Amino acid sequence: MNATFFDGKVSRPHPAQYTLSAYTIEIRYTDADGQERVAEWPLQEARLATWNPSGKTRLQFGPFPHQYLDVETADYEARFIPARQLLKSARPGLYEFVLSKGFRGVVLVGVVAVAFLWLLYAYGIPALSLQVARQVPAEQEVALGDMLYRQLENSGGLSVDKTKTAQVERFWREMGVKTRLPIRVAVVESKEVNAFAVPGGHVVVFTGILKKFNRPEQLAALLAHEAAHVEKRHSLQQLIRSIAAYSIISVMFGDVSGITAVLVDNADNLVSLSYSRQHEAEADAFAVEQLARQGIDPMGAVWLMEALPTEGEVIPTLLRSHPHNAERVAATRALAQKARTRVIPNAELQALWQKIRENSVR
Amino acid sequence: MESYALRNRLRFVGTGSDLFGIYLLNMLLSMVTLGLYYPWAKAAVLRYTYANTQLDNSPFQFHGTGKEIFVGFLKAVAVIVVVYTAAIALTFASSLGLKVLGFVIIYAFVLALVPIAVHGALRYRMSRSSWRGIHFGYRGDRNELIKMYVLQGLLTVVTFGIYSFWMTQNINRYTIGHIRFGSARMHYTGDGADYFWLCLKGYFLTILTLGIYGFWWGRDLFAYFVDNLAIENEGKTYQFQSSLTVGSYAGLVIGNILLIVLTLGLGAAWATARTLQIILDNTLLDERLDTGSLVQTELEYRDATGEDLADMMDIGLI
Repeated sequence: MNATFFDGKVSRPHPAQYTLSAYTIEIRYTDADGQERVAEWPLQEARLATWNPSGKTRLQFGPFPHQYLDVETADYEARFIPARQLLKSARPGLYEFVLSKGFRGVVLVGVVAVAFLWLLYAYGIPALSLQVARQVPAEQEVALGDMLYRQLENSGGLSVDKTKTAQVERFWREMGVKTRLPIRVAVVESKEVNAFAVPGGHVVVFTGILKKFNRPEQLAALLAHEAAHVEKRHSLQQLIRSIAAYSIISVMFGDVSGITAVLVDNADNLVSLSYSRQHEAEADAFAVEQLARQGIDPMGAVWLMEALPTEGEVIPTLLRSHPHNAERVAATRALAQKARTRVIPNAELQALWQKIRENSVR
Repeated sequence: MESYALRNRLRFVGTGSDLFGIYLLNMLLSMVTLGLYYPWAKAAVLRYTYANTQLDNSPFQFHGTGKEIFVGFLKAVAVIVVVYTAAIALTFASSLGLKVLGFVIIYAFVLALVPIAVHGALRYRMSRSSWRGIHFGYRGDRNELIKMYVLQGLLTVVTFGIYSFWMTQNINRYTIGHIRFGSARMHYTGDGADYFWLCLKGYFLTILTLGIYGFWWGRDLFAYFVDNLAIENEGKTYQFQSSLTVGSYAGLVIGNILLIVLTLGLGAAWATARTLQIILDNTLLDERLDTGSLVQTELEYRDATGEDLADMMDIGLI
């Protein structure tokens, strides 16, 4: 049969004739000097090249430098049926398979990709980040948190009010809640109704949220809630989660250099970290439990939620991640009632609250 | 002077939908393997684009395998990890002097990595590329390239970046001039001064015309590269030439932006295919070059470290 042979020595195409036998292929061609030549290759040393020139099927022989035989695809399909089993990669590869299915192949791969992505996002990453967060030693967590907090401060995002910070810090200490890591509170001048926790113990409270409170229990509940995110490593997990998600996106788009830049711009995300429903429920429960233990009315956790706007105004981060607010308030109320606390009046706490309130209304 | 014609002898016959299928499969497999599939993904894209790029109706072929690139990938990751570990360790260093010294050393090391990566990537990529069985090769000297980067890099800093125009052209001349295509060799004759004026003119006219001149500038930059490219075979030099018009360049750029933006990035495969088609359709080559007379000259070379190092450092190569 007619074919074109490339001898691996020169780029000139040689018109050739080939004969197939059970285990070998014999190629007869005329070389550049007009000499008749024969090349014989065992089929086991032949490979099928992928993505062939149109209408041709390309066979590749031997080690570097390879020799090639371009045969008509129609001939290949008719004559190479027994030979195919001996040819390496004679089975179509995954790419060739998908492309040969055309539109359906692409849709199939797309569906599998989306399903996998969803599984990873909904189950894989949270489970992984929990495991990783548990392995991080306390000192590292504090060091990381401090670094991120400083980065936030330096980027000009936070203007800390020293007086209010000192007052709220004292309020927190007076509450007497014991935590794994020391909690460091910062009050930031901002209209935003928001508060967030940084891994390692920083809790940032915006003055906007303080203005919404009219009872000390609300502030106590807020601080306990944010402290819970630190205590239970939620913010650390969330950070790990966003790094993991970012890495996956980088991988998806083949942007390898992006992965290395992950940590750099992660600090800004802290402000808008949103927790899962489960994390919020855990933090609410922690707040109720700690308030009750310290003789502060745990209903503060409910009053806190009621004081925050849920419609019209911007939904604060504290509530954002939770679509079922009514449900969450009800659950917290139930917890608070079950706690059946004997409320112990605390004059010091009350006095501090008065100061904070005077300061924030002014 | 002998008269000759320039003909369009290169073309890209691949399609956006094939590329889309490959990208999608790559994405899925990369996710499933947490990114470890990357080298195989890259090899697949290169195999496809090479196989669908033709010179005188014969396809090119990429011989690199995912496994080779994976080994290179591991080495490159090791290098990057060492650099990052050193940098992170230094942030905890107590003395300021130590910190400064450490960062200067790391910085110098990373700068030296650029020519090492470029050299490695060229050696690997060229040796794994062939056409009608004739392999390409890169015969540049690594130390020479490092010297060029260091000295001219310093000159660039001293001249507040102005020398960078000369530097890029000098490096192009060196790297392209050391590419072998069997017995033929490539040539690049671009020159810093010409390139500088081209960019200076393009920059100011683009600003003055509120960006419209950008299409002319883009066309000129492409033409500058291609028109300075030549191939030497059996003692004769054969010129490449651009036939890209402002219209087709503008169509390419605007079309690609629309393709990518309107599809939220899903159209990237089609944009790539269009770009390759238009670039190759507008690259003409002296018709007298006898592509049947190339002789095999290059040795086999398998180290793929440079390939991935270059990727991680965002150095674009072909």
